[in-house]
Amino acid sequence: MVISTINGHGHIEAVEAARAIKKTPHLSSTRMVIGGKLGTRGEDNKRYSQKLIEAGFEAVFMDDQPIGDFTKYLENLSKDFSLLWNRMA
Amino acid sequence: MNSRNRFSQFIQAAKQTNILVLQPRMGFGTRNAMRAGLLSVRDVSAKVVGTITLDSYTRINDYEAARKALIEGHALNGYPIVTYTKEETMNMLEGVMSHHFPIQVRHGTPLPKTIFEAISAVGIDATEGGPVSYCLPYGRVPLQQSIREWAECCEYFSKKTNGSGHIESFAGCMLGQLCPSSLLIALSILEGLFFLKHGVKSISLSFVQGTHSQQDLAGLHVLDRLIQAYLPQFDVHIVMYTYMGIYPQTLAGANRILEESAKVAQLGGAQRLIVKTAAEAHHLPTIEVNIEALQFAHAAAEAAKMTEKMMLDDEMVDSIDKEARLLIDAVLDLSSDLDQALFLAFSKGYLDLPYCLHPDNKNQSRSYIDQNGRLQWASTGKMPFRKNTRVLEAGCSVTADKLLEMLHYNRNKYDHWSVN
Repeated sequence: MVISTINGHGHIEAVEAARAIKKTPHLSSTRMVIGGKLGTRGEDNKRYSQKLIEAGFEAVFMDDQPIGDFTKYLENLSKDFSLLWNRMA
Repeated sequence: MNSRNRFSQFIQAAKQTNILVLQPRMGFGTRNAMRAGLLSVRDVSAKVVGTITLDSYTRINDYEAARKALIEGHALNGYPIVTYTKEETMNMLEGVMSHHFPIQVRHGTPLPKTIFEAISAVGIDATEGGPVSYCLPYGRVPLQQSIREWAECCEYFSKKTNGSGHIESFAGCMLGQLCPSSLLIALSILEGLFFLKHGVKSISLSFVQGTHSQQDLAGLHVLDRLIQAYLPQFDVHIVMYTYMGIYPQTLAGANRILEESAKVAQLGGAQRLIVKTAAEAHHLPTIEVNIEALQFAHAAAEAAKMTEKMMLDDEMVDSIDKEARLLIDAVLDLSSDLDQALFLAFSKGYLDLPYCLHPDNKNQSRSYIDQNGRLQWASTGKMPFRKNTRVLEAGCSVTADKLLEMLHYNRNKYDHWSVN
């Protein structure tokens, strides 16, 4: 699940969203990532990463990070899935 | 056209002297910061009007969250006007708002009843929005519901201001980027007609800087022409916005795009410009960078008067004009009740915003940026363009990579230019 945020309130609301998702039975093990403008502090938004990881996000992408970091994450994810798939098959 | 509206009077007076009025986008969570911000803007040596941008909790009517954030000391991204009492806001504005420094409240709320009540209670007579432009980009509130509430709010606001209230339509900025001019203009005119129908007689129509200055100039020209055609004899002015999409990251790139927007606004006959700041790509602007941007834009607009006039591209004007009129007339033909016509227009796909994910938007139209940097239609969905209208069909689908590239077009263009 990809959550994108732009308004600077992401670091507050995404923690609540993560909590709600983790509580939902068939979503509790869904892998979640978040990216965008997480706060109103510019580069200093990095300070929110740890809080979001603790809330259950597997990765946190800052809005000034290259898109490649995200697509790379997706590629690794698909490798994980194909490994899993092969194991099941 | 004479107006009793403070905000509009100020703009019309500046127009007489051919000075572009400038306005920041600015909102702070605390009253002290909001007041300090407004005072700093007021004292800029340019023609400026003030802005109170509301925070995003207030915009989605979550007043409890706004209150909680204030108590817990979280930085809000705007001024929570509903959360503060009337007295608190009036104290904040004491000695700030006047005929020499009118203030507009800006938000983005599809269901703005409580906000209109709060604005009216403190004597602010100018705001922004619209039944479509404050609904579709922002969430999932059904369009029908937003239309109904905006209609009531316009009537309420008109009554509370004794018929002098001013509303600016945000339709010229739909989604900030990648919406072709003809659709922006058609929506602006339609929202203007909506305001008039519901008693608001002092209005402004917006138009956002795109990817190509000649195209923007043509767009402004058409908007002005269609105001004469569809909204004659009303108090209407044009407000231009500096680019609302992904913004240049370098200081030079940010200044360059701001300068370009000020030039186009000045030469294209806009009366007001909403500026963006060099901080835009990184974080919410501070008071200081806002002041710098206002001063810079003022200098750029004044300098533009001295340069040669930009030539209008007649072919571009004609095609935007034709498309916009087709859209407006097709919508007006849908029902004698404009509220109903607006709703039907979206459900039939006569109005269809490219890349807009709102459930009431068909989302079948697509736009692309051509080799010359002009924004064009890649496909027009069910919009009522006829064969004689020059609609360029790209005949190719816009892929995710292509979309990302287009979203970053202006950032790359202006940041890159400034390096060379």
